[in-house]
Amino acid sequence: MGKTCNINRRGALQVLAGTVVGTANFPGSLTGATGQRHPKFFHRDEFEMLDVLSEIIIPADDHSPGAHAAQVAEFMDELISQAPEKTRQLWRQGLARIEGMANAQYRRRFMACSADEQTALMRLISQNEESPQQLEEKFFVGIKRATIDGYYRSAIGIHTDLQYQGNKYIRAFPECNVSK
Amino acid sequence: MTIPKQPIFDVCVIGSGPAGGVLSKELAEAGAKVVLVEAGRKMTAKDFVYHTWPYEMPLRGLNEEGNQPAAAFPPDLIKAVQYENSDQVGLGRVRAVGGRSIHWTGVCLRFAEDDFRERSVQGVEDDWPISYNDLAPYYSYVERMIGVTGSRENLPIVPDGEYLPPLKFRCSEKILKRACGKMNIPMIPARKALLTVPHDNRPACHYCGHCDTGCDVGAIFSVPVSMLPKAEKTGNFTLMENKLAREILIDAEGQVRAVSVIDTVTRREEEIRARIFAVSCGNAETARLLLNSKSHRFPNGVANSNDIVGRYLTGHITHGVRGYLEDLVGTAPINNDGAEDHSYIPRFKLGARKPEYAGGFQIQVQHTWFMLPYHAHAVKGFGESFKKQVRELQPGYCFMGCFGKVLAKYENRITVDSSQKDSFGIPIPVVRFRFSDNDLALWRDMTETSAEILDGAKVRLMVQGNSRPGGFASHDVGTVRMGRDPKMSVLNSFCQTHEVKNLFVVDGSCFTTSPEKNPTLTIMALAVRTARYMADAIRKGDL
Repeated sequence: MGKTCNINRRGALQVLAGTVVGTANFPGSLTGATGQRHPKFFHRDEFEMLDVLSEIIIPADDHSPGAHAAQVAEFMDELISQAPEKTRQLWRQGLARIEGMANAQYRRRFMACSADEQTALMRLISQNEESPQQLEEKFFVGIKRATIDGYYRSAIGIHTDLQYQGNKYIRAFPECNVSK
Repeated sequence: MTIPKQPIFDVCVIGSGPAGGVLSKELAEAGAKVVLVEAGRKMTAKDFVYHTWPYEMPLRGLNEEGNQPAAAFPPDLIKAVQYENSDQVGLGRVRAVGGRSIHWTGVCLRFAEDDFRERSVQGVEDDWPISYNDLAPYYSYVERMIGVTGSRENLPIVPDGEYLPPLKFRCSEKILKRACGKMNIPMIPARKALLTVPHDNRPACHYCGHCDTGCDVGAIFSVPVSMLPKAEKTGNFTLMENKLAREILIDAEGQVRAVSVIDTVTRREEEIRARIFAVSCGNAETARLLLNSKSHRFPNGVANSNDIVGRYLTGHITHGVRGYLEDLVGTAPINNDGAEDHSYIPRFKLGARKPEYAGGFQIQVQHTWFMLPYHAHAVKGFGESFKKQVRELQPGYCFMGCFGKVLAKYENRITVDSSQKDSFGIPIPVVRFRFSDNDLALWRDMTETSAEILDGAKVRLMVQGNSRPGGFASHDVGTVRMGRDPKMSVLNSFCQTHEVKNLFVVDGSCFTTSPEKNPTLTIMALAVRTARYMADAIRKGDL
């Protein structure tokens, strides 16, 4: 389906979910072994920041692991490596801006900040989520969107967190028996 | 270049979607020698992503959620269209043996008596040259042939058909039905070409919830699984894949003598000859082929002396809304997948409560995946509370997909532009389309009313779809309309062109008007009716 001017029912969904990136097939899988592989687009220190930021957005809790375990940073690296140049630069500049904010606020690199300080920075950039104006606010919207897409499409997101029960062969569809 | 010698077929059908597939099978069974010419190729299991988990796909399936087999949408096709001064609409085009039937939700609705009589009943558009009663036996024939799940409801707006047992409602659908009941809006089991019991040597649905990814067992009707084997069995049938029709060629008497096709693999051009030709390429591609078939006799394209081909482009105006039902939020996750939409809200606001605008809208309920938390993008904030909210909302998911009537207008049209060609050198279709005031009034009402229904069902969160109307939901039709008046239409009621006796157009492009209902069942019923007419004419020597 073409991505422009082609709002069919699927297209409408994709727009709503904000997931229209392109129509091409992408070679290579992201779900293989990780760790030793170099990021495709981000520098190693940027990649580590993404890992921490995504975990702040969707953290591990007593119910399920979070974005770090679901390798969301690797998903984002793949996603942005395929994005238009303008988007790629926005991400890079966004990370630099957060680095600058950490420096101004705490006189430390972001990665050297405490968990509370990192979360406080995240709160700062998330305040204008509905109509982001500043670069860091737009970056928050972008990284949150990508974290959601990466996490809830991972095995952890689908099976452990949401406990999705479907995509299997069943003989008969069970009638609803909720009496409420 | 040498032209390979082809036998002369009785009928050459161009395009193998629901129209061309049914037409070919019916004609072959009636004894006609049929060649079915398709621009795409046969899809194999490898082309589909049946049952695949997002994390097994590149980029976690982010770009796969249309789930169409990529091979059926080659870049040649995707790029070969131009929208000029148009609202946010898209033509539904696909290039594969089976056409759109290889992945669809299977909705099969009979048009109502009044849907054929818009001019007489509402004073808009034109009446069809046929009535519901003309088509009713063919609706029945198709329903029995393909297997349609549904229930008899005695609602004139959606005439009952011949049904396999209905789908069971999900909890969300039971809650929604109660809310509809309070507003006096009927909500009924979905009517779809999906088997709830085995039928015609095909197994019943296994409720994996991925219908329009393509059904791996053939529980949803498709041309390759259900029609082509029957056609092949007759010994009267030839399938030609990867043959893109360039032009319909006219002889000295003004009849079609051949269709010129390009082999998309070898890029070689050849002519396919037959006594009768049926164009079934799907609305836009059908109009394109006719318009590109210019000759001394038909300088505006074949069968187009009146400049009607390509005009009256219509389809559906759409809206989607998601609600997260209070009663289900926070409940334990269960398997909701089923067969996509199990229920359906037919057009309401009839009779005394009739709205200001002409036409109406229908709502398909729950025809999307249950796997992904679409609402996560609408939940504010981040961190543990964000994650918990997303998780708790998910079991309450309820989607309403609204489809509204679009008035067929003379000025909304497809043309071809000889300065813009596809990679095979064929001029591409150019679309000019604007929604009318009537369409927009209907859209606003559809948007408000669907939210009202969800409100009545009590939701924790509601996420509206686009703030602008879109079309056509792969339901574009109307560009080669049938009609009584040869000045204002291209086809007679048997899908035969007024101007060229041995040229037929059998697909959604033949619709005089489009109601709010999905077009495919009517397309297939018209294909059977036309097949009978053709077979009769061949027998009598009229064609």
